[in-house]
Amino acid sequence: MPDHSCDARLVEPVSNANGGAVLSVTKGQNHGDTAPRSEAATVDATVRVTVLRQEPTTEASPQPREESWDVPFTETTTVLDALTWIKDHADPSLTFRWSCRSAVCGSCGVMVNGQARLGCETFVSGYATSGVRVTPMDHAEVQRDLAVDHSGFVEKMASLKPWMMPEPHQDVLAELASMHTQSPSQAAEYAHLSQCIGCGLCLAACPVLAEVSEFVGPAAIATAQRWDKDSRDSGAEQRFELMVDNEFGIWPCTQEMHCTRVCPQGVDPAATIIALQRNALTGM
Amino acid sequence: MKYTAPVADKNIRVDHADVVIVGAGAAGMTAAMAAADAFTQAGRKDAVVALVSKVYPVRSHTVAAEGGAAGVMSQEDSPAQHAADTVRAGAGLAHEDAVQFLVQNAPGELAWLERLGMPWSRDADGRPAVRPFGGMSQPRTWFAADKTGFHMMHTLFQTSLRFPGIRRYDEHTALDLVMDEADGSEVSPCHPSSVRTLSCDDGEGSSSDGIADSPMGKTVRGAVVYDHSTGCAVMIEAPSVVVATGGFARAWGVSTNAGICTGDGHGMAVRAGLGLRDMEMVQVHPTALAGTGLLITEAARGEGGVLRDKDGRRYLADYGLGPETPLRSPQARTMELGPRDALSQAFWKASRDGRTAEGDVVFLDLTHLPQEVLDERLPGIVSLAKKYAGVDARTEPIPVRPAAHYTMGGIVTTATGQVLDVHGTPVAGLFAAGECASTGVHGANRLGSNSLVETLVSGRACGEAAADPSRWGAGPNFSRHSAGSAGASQNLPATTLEARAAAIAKKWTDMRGQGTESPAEIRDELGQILDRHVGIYRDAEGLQAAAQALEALALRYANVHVKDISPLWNTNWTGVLELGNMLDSARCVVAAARARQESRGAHQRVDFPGTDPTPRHTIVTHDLACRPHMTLQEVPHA
Repeated sequence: MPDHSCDARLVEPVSNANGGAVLSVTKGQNHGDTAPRSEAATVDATVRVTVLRQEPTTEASPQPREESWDVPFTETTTVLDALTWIKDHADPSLTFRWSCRSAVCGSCGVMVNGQARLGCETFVSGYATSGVRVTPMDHAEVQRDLAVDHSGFVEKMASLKPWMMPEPHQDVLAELASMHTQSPSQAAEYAHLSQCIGCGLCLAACPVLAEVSEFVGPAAIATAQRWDKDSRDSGAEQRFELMVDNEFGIWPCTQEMHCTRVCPQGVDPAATIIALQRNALTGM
Repeated sequence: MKYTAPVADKNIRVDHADVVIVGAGAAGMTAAMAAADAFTQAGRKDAVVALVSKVYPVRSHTVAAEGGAAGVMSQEDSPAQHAADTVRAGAGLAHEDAVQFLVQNAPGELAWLERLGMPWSRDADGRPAVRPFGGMSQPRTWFAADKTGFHMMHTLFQTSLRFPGIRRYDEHTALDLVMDEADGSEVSPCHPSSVRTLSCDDGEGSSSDGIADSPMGKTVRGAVVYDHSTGCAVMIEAPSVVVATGGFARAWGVSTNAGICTGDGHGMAVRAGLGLRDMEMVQVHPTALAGTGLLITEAARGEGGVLRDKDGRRYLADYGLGPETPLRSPQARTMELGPRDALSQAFWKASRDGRTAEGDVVFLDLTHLPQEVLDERLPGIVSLAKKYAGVDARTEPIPVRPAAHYTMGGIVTTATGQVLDVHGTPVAGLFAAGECASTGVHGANRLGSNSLVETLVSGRACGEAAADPSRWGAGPNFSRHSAGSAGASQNLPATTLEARAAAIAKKWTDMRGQGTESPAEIRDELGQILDRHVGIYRDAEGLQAAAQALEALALRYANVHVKDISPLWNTNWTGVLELGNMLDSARCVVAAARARQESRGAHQRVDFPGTDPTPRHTIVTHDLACRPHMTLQEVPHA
């Protein structure tokens, strides 16, 4: 990571004069460009969207506040569309991450009514009566509003060496003849584990991380196993040690399966961790 | 909302690196590892490769690439055939040397990825499988189900974690390049506030009021980036910079592109006085999911999917793509496997002829494909259709329509990625790789699956070259110093560079809290203008309307309202910076499209349906008022 030598002094948090105010919005306005176009003209309902907001601060006790907006929606309006609508029409300072809109880049993880979800594949129509309460992902440091610090996630993943071992030799890398063969069934062994998009929902959902923040977490372990189960890789022993001879490796997991339930890609980290725990205990 | 005054008295710092790479998608990530490997082999263990990304690297748009990456694999195929297909698609604007460089190196790069653990889909013998793709005369597209780019990105990123020499600058926004003229004076980047009232007559030919610059070479000094976590601008000083920032098709309202595909590198280059080539060549993908623009990969057609009009007829046969092929027997370069531009043009004609269904859509029919093909080769498409259109692709056709997808034009480079200035002179130390570069590979139209492999081939070429100044002849002004040292180069003390960087950063940060024009409105209007006038078919009237509308938008952008003044995580401000880059890119597109009074590849003029006998490139630079300035240039033929 870069050395932050620029002597930045963070802004003081300023309480918002309009904190908690509800901005009612005229119905039938145009959507932003991420909103579905086909039905933009037929908007006839709004949903109450409440966001837990927080300014960047170095203070020990940040002061989150809630703000709500009534946002027009259709059947195809996602939570991400709703946040974009607020940013375009009501408050440009609302801070959240997004990019692909199709659940593959992993940017837009948030808590939606307490559940870890990707904003781009969660439709607000399911919350029309309850309203949508969007909060930053749990178990992560809030940078601003819905943006949380992701660097720990990457560091934890890197700590389990998620790359081919042994390191391929430079000289043969570009030779077609040097490629491994791998049968379709061998490839299927790790296919589901290779689907992790790094969104971090499993970390937000993991109850252990509320207590043991050093736990490497479901995604890192599943990704390590993606390599362990790859017939081309010989690093399983090394990674096994990193996960087993490590109080923050596989052991903190209490097998509550939340990670598997929230994974948007069906990776099933819980089964992986449970198998590793059994393996470590019985040598099986 | 009011915040207290920004941050720090001294809100800039200078970091030293041996190579700076801007962008960490497949091209930037490959360049970073290639540079780090080159330093290791040269015994330079202290060398630092600074890898800048405005997002976390795995958020890069590479992850959205679905279909695959082309490289000759079988005995029946040959690099010569791959080259011939690529040159044919390029419609006279492809460069033979660039195409040869790509096709010769493609299989090796794909094998390299295999050695790194890329989960290529396999044939029964355990070798990477290949599938047919539009415009390719042989099956040579390697793939990982329908998530090829996703797996490439994660394989590259995870592998990069073992390189200690790569210093990541995640979530740092690049503001501008810092360059010297040949005489050591500074290149001063254009800025939106310098947009002046226009006389909108440019674009129809060349005049001589472009930026006057020295025919001697420029030299890159590094890049100014912005750290959102601290509110600091950072001057990353380095003898070489690789720009790998991707494309700008997000500027269109109907687009397959992610929110981050905003032409940041194109904007930085043109503001620094460099030329952008063939910007009018924008590939419109024929099959995006209706209502969302989300990509439905060409692989769906390669696997046997067919396109039908509202009455269920395979309309492509009526628009020059026939003869109709039997179901489940796709044939190379015919019907659904015709080139993308031909398919998009057929859609346009079908729409004109009243053959599209409500919402101006046609249907991609996969219902006749075996279950195992859908499960193993197109699972992402099935899920996308279900999630975002409520369509079960196993039993119902998917509503699709064309959407802006890939920008062939870009920063002018040699076949291997060395950036050239408008005189064709290399800019010492500056390279461009991937979608942001115009190496000459794609010409007037890109074949699907050539761009994904291009990220690897050009990424490596740029990374290796950037790490070896002897290869690009560092001039007398250049002095290498270790990245760890606080020292300065001999002729320009670091304070000067710091002051220059601070001035550049200030222009951008000063936009916060200023202006009255809504950025969301400018962005929406930009998308509408491009959708309406700069789509599949173009004409003089529409392009002139677009040019006037875009110049008006540029004037409004000079007074854009950035309400949020926070120095930290200010996405209102970064959204405005991205909008500026899209607007700069779009203005270049329109200037080039007006000047190209012929139909060629992805650029189809209703009013000029013929193709000129002599192919020429369009080159757009900024004039002194930061307006697009057009010249035409002959295509060099080897």
